[in-house]
Amino acid sequence: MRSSNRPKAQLPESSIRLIRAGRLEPGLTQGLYHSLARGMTESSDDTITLCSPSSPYLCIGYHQVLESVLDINVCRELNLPILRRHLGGGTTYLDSNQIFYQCIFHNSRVPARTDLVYQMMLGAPVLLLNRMGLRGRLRAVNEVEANSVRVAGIGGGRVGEAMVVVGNLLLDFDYNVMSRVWKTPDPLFRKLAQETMQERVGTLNRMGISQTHESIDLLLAKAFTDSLERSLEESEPEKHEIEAAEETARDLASHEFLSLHRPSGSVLPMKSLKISADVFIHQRRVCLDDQQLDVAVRADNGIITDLKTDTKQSKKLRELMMGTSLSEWN
Amino acid sequence: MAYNFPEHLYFEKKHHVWCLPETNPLIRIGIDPLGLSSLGELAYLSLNPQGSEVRKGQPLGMLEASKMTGELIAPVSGKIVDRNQAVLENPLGVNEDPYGTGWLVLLESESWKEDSKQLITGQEVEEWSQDELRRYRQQGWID
Repeated sequence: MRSSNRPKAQLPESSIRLIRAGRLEPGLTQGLYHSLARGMTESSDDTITLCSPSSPYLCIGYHQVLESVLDINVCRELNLPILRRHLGGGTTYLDSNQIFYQCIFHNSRVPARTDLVYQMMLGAPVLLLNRMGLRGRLRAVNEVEANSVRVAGIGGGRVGEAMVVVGNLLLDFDYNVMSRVWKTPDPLFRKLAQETMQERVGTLNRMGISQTHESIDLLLAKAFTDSLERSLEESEPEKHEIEAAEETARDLASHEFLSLHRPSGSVLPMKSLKISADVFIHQRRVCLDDQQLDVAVRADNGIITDLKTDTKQSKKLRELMMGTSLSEWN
Repeated sequence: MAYNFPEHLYFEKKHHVWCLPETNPLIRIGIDPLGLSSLGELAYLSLNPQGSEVRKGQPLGMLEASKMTGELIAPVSGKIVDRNQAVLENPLGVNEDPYGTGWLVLLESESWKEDSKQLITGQEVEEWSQDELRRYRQQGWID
């Protein structure tokens, strides 16, 4: 087991640049940190941006196949723009009820190991949650929890010379829209995923926190100062940085970039969906009484804890599958 | 994890990428165990298309572990003539056998003679790898 009492990497004395950007149009909430990262050199200031999107949009991870995770027709119907980030992680529905924190540090000033980078960057949101009395903790390398449920999405990556970690704090969350846009194998998978998400993903509002974006921004900035043991120096993004961010935002939403990783031929819907650290929804085809039956199952730490199927064999499947290991049904 | 660094390979020191010159002008490329220990277990791997040209110091692919992406930087210039389909389908294969079945791409490199001057091999590998292991341990990045 890895010890938590390891020597810290030598931290620099210089202050961190803080950009409190407030409400930005969706593309800029992604474009700004990408372009700051691309322009970063060792002599650049490490930077943290805090912002929220002015309207809803969707963002997919670098390696995801767009058509297998999102129902494009529903996204169009709901007028939701889609961007792909250069960072890892899954599909996220983002709107103005979320506060984004985006840490852009030179790679020479962060640990070489991924889990330690997350520990370094996510210490602040965890500290903030604890200061709010919400039992914040970092779980399974990169999941920020409050009161034992997930309250944030996380992604990271090396962009140019920068190491970037981004996350969001959910003040409120539209579970309905998030579940409508998924490209699921069938409606029961979607229903089970939505129910599980409502149980496993929480919001600050649901936990009784009703502070404004501005006050949370300030508390989060203070938490970064304390957690990283470096001062923050606030400044506005410069004109050339905004222009670069706008251009980057166009690239992230371009057809070419969104089509990345698309295989030739038809694209199948997702068969697995991560809800939180140890909780997944999977689609399984099970043979029962010489019949092939499709079942949506929920697995907690690899054990089936719930399932949905529209066959008459539902009761029998439940008796057979509940409490068993998911690996038995591959 | 065993951190061995075979002296018959060439290593790019900054990004922990190894090169194995095969039949001229083919160079097999992969990541060394120390580079992989920093990333963790790979969940995704994407490589530039077969037939594409890559330039030394530029990305030839992307890796992802624990929701964190990383660029795979080309240690030499050349044309990608083969990609390891097995690890594209199962990226964990890179972690399991980084110097063997976990190779990444085969490059056709006309500039190997020049590019390889910036790589280390032979007796230099031992000294560099010991320094790197010491640095990683001091920082708490490996056990």
